[in-house]
Parts: sequence; C-alpha cells; structure tokens
Amino acid sequence: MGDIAIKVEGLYKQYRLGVIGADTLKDDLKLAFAKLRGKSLADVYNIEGNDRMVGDSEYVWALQDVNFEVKKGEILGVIGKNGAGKSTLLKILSKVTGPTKGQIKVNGRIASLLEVGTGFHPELTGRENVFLNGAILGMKKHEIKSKLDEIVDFSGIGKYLDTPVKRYSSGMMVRLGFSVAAHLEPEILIVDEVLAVGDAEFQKRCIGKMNDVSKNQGRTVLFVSHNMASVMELCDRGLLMQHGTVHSTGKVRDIIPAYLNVFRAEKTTSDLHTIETRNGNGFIKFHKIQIVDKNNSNIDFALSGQKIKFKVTMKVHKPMDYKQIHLSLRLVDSNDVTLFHLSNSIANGKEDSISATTDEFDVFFEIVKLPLNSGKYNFHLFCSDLQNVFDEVNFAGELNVEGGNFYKSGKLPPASTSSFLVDYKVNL
Amino acid sequence: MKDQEEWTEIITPDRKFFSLKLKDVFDYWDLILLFVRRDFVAFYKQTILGPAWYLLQPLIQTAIYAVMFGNILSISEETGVPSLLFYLSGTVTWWYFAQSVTKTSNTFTANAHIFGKVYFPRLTVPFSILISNLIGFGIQFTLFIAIYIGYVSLTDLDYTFSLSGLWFIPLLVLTMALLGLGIGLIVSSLTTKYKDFQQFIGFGVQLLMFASPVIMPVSIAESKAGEWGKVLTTVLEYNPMTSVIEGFRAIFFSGYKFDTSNITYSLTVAIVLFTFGVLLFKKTEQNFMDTV
Repeated sequence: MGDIAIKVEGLYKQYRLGVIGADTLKDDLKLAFAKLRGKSLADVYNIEGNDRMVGDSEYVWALQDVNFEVKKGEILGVIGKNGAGKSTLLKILSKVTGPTKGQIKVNGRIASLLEVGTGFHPELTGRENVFLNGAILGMKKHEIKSKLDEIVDFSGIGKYLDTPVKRYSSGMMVRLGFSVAAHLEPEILIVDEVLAVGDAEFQKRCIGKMNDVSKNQGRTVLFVSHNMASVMELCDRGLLMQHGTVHSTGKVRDIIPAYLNVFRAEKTTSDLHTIETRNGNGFIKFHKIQIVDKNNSNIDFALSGQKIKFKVTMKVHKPMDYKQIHLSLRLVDSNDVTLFHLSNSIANGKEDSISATTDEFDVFFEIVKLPLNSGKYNFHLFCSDLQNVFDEVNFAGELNVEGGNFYKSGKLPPASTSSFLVDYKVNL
Repeated sequence: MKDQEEWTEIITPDRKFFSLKLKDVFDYWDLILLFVRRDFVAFYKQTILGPAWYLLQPLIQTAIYAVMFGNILSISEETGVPSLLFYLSGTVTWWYFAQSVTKTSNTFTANAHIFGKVYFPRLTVPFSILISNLIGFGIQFTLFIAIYIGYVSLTDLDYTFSLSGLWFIPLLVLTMALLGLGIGLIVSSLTTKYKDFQQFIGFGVQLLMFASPVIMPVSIAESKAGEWGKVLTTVLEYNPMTSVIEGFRAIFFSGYKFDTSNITYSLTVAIVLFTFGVLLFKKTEQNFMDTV
C-alpha cells in the first residue's frame, strides 16, 4: 500500500445543466426535504445508467465510476477527447470542487497547476506577486524567500522584478507564474496543459523541469494534455478517459493507439455531392471524401508522421470514355496558403482514363509519412481533362493533425513556427 | 482499518457539518497577510490622495451627516455632544461593520477565478478582510481620538473619559468584527447560488444604519412619540450594533451610560451569527464552483 500516491475509488461527479433561477430553488427545496427524511444524496440522484445523461433530467454525469491508482514517482498522462471528463477529474483532485460520490485517497501534499500565475494582482510588482502566488499555491513565506533567486532566474524576467505585472507582456507573466509553480515542492503535482503557453524555448525548459521533478526527485505527476508528442515523451503510464469513465490504462505506447481508436469510431465521412458552390461541367463529380489510415479505417485526425490516405469517391454523371483525366488535391493552411499539391498526373507522370461503363470509382491520395505539424488544414479538390473542368470543390474538407512521433524522438518543433516536418538527419 | 491511517488526506463528497479544519486556515497565515497587503495596496493605487482616503472617507461622510441631520434636522442638538464628534464616532464604527459585511459577502463571487484554479482554505479570504478592515478602523479611530483630544483641550466639552473605559474597546471591536464577519459569511454562502442576496445586502446594510444610533441616539428615538417612534425603539433595541455604537460613545461622552447587559446581548448574537456563518461557509466552499 505504501507506494501508492493517489487512489481513486468509484468517483462520480454530477453537474446541473441549464440556468440557475427560480426553478432551481424548487429543486433545492425538494432535495433538502429528501435529505431531511434521511435519504442519501445518491438516492436522490439516480446514479444507475450508463449514459452520461440520466433519463430526461437536467443533470449530467461528468464522471462515472472512475477508479484508478497512481504509484509514487510515476508520471501519469491523462488523455481523452474534449468533454471526456479530464478537467473535472483534475478539479476534484485539486479540491477545487467536490465529488458527488466516491472518494479519493491521497498520500502526500498535492499542488495543482490548472493555470499559471493564479491570483496575480496587476498592481503588485513581480516580486510581490511571486510571494502572493507562492502562498496561494501553499508555500510558506520563508520557503519562497529562500527560493526567490532561483525563481527569478528560471523565469528570466530579471530586471522587471520590481515593476507592476500589469506592465508585463503576457509571455512574461506566464514565465513568472510557471517559475513559481516549478519551485513548489509537493509530493504530487497535477498539471493541466499549461505547457501549451510560452515560447518554444520556455516549453522545453518546462518539460525538462517536469522530468527532473519526477525522475530525480521522485515526485508523482499527473499530466493532462492533448499534445501526444509531449505525453509520449513525459509519461510512463497513460489513462484514457471516454464519456466520463476510464476507458483504459496502461503503458503510454499502448494507450495512444486506443486514444486514436476512440476517434475512429466517430463519423469522418463527409458528403461532397450536397455542396452547391462548385465549378465545372459536372460530367464527373466528387461524391464523398474520407480520410483513412493504412488499414483503410476512418480517422478523425491524423498524427504527424502517420501514413494516411484521402479516399475520394467519384461519380460519373455522363458516362463515356474519358481519357486523360487529371485529379488533384491541394492542401492549404488556415490562411488558404497552398502547402502542397497531390495529383495523379504529377505523381504517375500521366493522366488516367475511365471507360464508359464506369459509373463510380475511388481515388486514393496516399501520403506515406504525413509531413505536417499539429493544426487544422483544409483541402481543395479538382478534376478535369485536357479540355474541360469537370468538377472543382473548394474547401472540400478539413484535416486535423495532432503532433505525433514523426522523428521517433517524441519531440516536435512548435507548430507556430514550423508547420512542415522534414525527414532529416543531423550528424556531428 | 490499517490502510486508512496511511493516507494523508481523503477527499469525499459530504463533509461533516462540524469539521471546520480551522488549523488549515492558520497554516496559511502568510497568505492571509499577503491578501491584506494586496487589498491595502490595491485600495489606493492610482489615486492621487493615496492612503489619505482612509481619513477623508469618514470625514466627508461625517460632514454630510452633520449638515443633514445635525444642522438641518437638528437631531444631535439634544445629545450635548458637538455634532462633528457625534457623527464621527458613529460613522467610524459603522464603516467597519458595513465594510466587513459588504466585502465578505462577495468572497465567493469576487474570487471565483482564483478559487476555480487552486485550493487553499477559503476562509483565509474573509479573515484577511477582517484584518484589513481592522487596520482601516485603527486609522480612522485614531483620527477620531485626535479630533476628540482637540475638542477636549480647546473647548469646554463635558467629557467623561476614563482610562478604565478603554478596556472595553477590544470587547466592542470584537463584537463588531464577529457581527460583520458572521453576516458577511452567511450572505457570501447564499450568493454562490442566488445572486439576489448581493442586491439585498446593499440595501440591508443601509437600512440597518438608519435603525442604528449612527444618526440619532437611542434617547432621542425614545422621545419621539407615535407609532413609528415605538417601532424604531424596538428595532434599535434588537439591532446588535446599537450597543456597540452607544458603548463607544459611553467611553468618550457624558450622558451615555455603559450598559453591560446590552453588550452581552450583542456579543451573544455576534458569536451565534459568526459560528453559523463559518459552518455555512465551510459547507458551501466544497462545491460552490459548480454553481457560482
């Protein structure tokens, strides 16, 4: 038992939907009355039922029967889609809100970093805010005093220390906030995607610091993130959440494919035949687009470095022998700047032909190793022969890319500075 | 069973009503002091007059009352105390009480952004308000003493100041601190769900002031005949702030007597409200983030 830092047992959390007003007062009175008659809270809310919605009630279960353990000195990565219950779990662990049912046993002092720089007051100086923020996070004054130099050093704000923080840039605030947090010495640290802020160099330092905290100082870390690259690099174990329950736990490299599978189950096909704004004579039309992985199963988003295919279904509206059909897919970034161009005539050196008996056919645009960093991309589709444009659909679909293990090192350059990934080597 | 002793903490849904964990609050003493400092600094940042507002605020208020009630309605004439001193004594004590109530009453709503991110004992915030208001009261009370001494030495004011009376000051301050904090805590707990209470408290405090001896001494209310005079006397009698304000005046002015039974009543009410407030606050703090 002694080596367990956190033990979550049968944890439930319920939220009330809708607005609070006169109606909720009625409910409250009902609840209070039920309690008076000696019913427990769990009886009043109907706890059974697998769905997050209980019948047609206005209550929603954000967490349902969550059970897991975290060992001491372990870095556990909590992953899951938006709304899977990750943040709720973190909030309960950090005591910001209470559970509805169940319990969490904790061994050691918890510090949570759901945000950096909590409680910073704009009128106070950097130095005063270090003390205030540190105290909010649970440090004693003398602790902060003894670490002040380290904190200031780590943040790199140096000479601005005695300036009110309202004059700071947002980056400086974040750096100062993280520095205070990084110098906490709790036995258990809970971190929520705070690494998504700050510049690349600072992010690197943060990851380094977290590694140091757990590997060299033997502290337990719970890390929640959408960034697969950093989860893979930092964490030993993963916890996958889905619909408020624990989907699976295990080694990170086993959990991440499961995470991707969760997405696979959802819809990814999009119909193109319903799109009205298009060019061309319509002899051949784009009918459907799917993004699939190497096993031809649909994916909702792709990982950097993954093999993906755009599966385009074409419909022939005017059957005849087509020679020299040219098909292309143009991938653009969020500003509609073309990043690359995929086409049969370029890749194969010639156009394709289609016989008069064909009324439907599939085209696969296959990317062997997706060279894109995390972000949202769009693509345009174009089909023609040498004389006529048959069909052109702009913004035919969206490609969501999550940072993946492109370089097999678990690291990626920041998406803001580098949207392309190139396979390269550096030798010394 | 053996298993249970190993855990440093167990997070469960229903906290016991009486588990106060006040020790936690004092573990965060450094934080309380930093909050006090923050509030104090933020109060006068970007003002030209700076901390002088602590003095100007009651003086201006007193001037308004002195002109309105003292000169125009000539209420304080019968008290035998110069109207400046009379209203200042009322304003200063009332300021402390009103500030405590109003500032404490939005503890949860005003700090939601911090409470939503980090856990620390929530009671640190109301306690820090208590302390920063005490500092403010200290400053304003010193101002009162200074003006009082000025009056005593320059005019032939009939005063009954005795050193032994000073011993009652801590008792009076304690009563008013517990009262303000208690009411504030109760309201803050209620406002997490229904923000109507925040509106009520603004009017409530104002109304309560007119039903206290800030503006007119109890003796005058009694002498006013008619039904409303009777209502006013009853309200004054039950208003726990009455004996506090009258108590302060009894220490410095002649014509007031120090009524210990009234003080006992006020202190009892204060302790009851404070205890209830703390319990309600502790009950609310666990889940308020879901509703606020």
